[in-house]
Amino acid sequence: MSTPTRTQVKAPRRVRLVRAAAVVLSLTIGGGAAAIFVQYSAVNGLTPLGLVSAVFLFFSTTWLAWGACLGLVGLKPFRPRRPFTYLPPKGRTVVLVPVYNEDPQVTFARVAAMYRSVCKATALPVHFAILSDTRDADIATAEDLWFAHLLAETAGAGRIFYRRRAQNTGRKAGNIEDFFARSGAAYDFALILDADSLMEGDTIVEMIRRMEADPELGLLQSLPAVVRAQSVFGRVMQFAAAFFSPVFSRGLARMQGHTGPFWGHNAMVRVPAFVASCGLPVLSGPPPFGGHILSHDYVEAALLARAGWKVRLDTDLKGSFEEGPESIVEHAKRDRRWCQGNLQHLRIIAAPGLRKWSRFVFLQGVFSYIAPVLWAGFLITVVTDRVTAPPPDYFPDPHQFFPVFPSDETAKAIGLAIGIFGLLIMPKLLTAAEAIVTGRTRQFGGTFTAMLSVLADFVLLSIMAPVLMAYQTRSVFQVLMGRDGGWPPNRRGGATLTVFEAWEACRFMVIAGLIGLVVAHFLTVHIILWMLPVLLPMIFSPLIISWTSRLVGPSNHGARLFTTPEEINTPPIVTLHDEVLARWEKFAQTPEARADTPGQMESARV
Amino acid sequence: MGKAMTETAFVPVPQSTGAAVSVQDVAQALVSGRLPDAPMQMPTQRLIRSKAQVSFLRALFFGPLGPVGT
Repeated sequence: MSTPTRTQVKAPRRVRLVRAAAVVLSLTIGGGAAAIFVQYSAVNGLTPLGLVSAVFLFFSTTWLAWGACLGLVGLKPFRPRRPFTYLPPKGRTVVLVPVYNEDPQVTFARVAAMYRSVCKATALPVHFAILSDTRDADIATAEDLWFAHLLAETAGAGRIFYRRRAQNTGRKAGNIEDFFARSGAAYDFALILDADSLMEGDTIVEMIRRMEADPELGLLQSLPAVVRAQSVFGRVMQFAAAFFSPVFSRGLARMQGHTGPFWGHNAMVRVPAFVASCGLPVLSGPPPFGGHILSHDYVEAALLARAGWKVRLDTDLKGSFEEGPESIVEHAKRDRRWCQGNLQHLRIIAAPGLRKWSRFVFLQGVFSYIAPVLWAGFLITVVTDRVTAPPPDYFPDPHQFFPVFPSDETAKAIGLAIGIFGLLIMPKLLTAAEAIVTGRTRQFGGTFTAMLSVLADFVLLSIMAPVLMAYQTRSVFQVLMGRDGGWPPNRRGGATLTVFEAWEACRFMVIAGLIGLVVAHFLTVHIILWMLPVLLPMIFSPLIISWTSRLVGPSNHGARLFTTPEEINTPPIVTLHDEVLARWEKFAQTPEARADTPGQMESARV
Repeated sequence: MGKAMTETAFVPVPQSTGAAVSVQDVAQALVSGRLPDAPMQMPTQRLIRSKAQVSFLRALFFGPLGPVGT
């Protein structure tokens, strides 16, 4: 066991003020919404169920308001960060690429591209280490073969390394820890990537410079842009990430102070700081709450901050990329893992010595997954309350002559609904306005195309939201029931799902939606219209999942819906990766490769 | 095609205190074509405050009043 030895860096006063204002504003809005709801419900007599609904509404609206605050705080762009120095960096640096049953051809081609890019950017000998946790024997063999090809093509022997663990203890965090335990002392900095990460050499060099410029900086997180989306779902998410994320991330960056986030990849760590502070324990008891820590990145960021190191998100770092899931089902699979990891943080939220903001970040992570459950709880309690409510008593006094009508509070209910809807869309509308004013829309195919994309994004996300929320709700209940989701490998790239495949993955929500519709129809037919926006997408989820997984390809014209800056101006590293991959595809077909590796270079594709 | 290095390429080394490895050591490792043998100890951090906290959370989720009460 170790104890923190450095003094924790206090957040600047401005940061603390922004945080306090955002928390107070969110709680006030949540409280206001609950108060209006109580007034509305009290017309026919406040029931215990009505009070429970109000509690659900309070937490749900507070969470929504918190999201809106993040957007508001992030609206104003940062002043461009001046380069600290143009001197060549000196820090011994390694780029870590953990892989787990990935397609080795595509993944190792990324390493080849980044290696070339780094060599072009600096004379500093940056190393690359591919850390394999692959369990599939065929893929493992292919990894060996493609690694040999990678070395041969780049002449990177002595700078590019590969090793595969016999046991994947501790999953990705254990994989990284294993590397540091064996080779950590050889490096000052380590850039941790995912298998689908791509970074420009210049960006890597700039990150080394920033780490060298601030000796207290323990971790520097970049904001990766999503690239290469091919499906409807993938392109909607890619656009949303490119258009809205910078604003929300700036909001986060303004509130975090020196206690920033770690998203597990596309981030550089100071090796001695990370090694001394981030050895993760195995939690007692079985998964999902016990065992290895699943969402290790948040915990590692909190541990670095606990030990007095700065953890920073630099939103101005360009040239950092990742790929996203191409279908709702792939998104839900990844989300299931994140859900379990975030709820597991309840075990460590009270860990000794953590910064208050770190605890708050854990709480946010938990809330992001239980929010849909809270909304579902609100809807169910409202409907149940309505069904079980006694009819209004127009003659409370048996001797009265004229009936007493309950006061009409419909205006309050409509006002409340509009307010909540406003919280949902206001940050997006303000972001759209910011993009027009600053001219950022030019990067998205022009103002008209960008606004059309914002509108289409809103419509499609409104249709997909109940489906995503149903998956999240199921995930939360699975975790609370003690079911471990495991660590399924990611399925990269596009793959259209048939309606039947989609049905296999979502029949639970179709059945739940149909039951909800029948119950609403027979018991409270007058509020069925309010339920349809949630129930219809659930009932038609197989069609929605299948349709949104349809491959539509990237935009190459700069004027298509959901165009992103990276589609208009392809980043050099993406072009380089495409070139390497095309060359390797050809190589895999050559008689030499086929004779040397019968079938393995192709059969291992995942 | 040559066989790539796997885990067996590592040479077992005694645990060190994590002191920085000299440039010469690293260079020698690189010449040999494998990741540098430069071990560091990663001390396990304390995250659970007490048994009482664990008991409380267990009661919260799995206790008779929890959402998955036993």
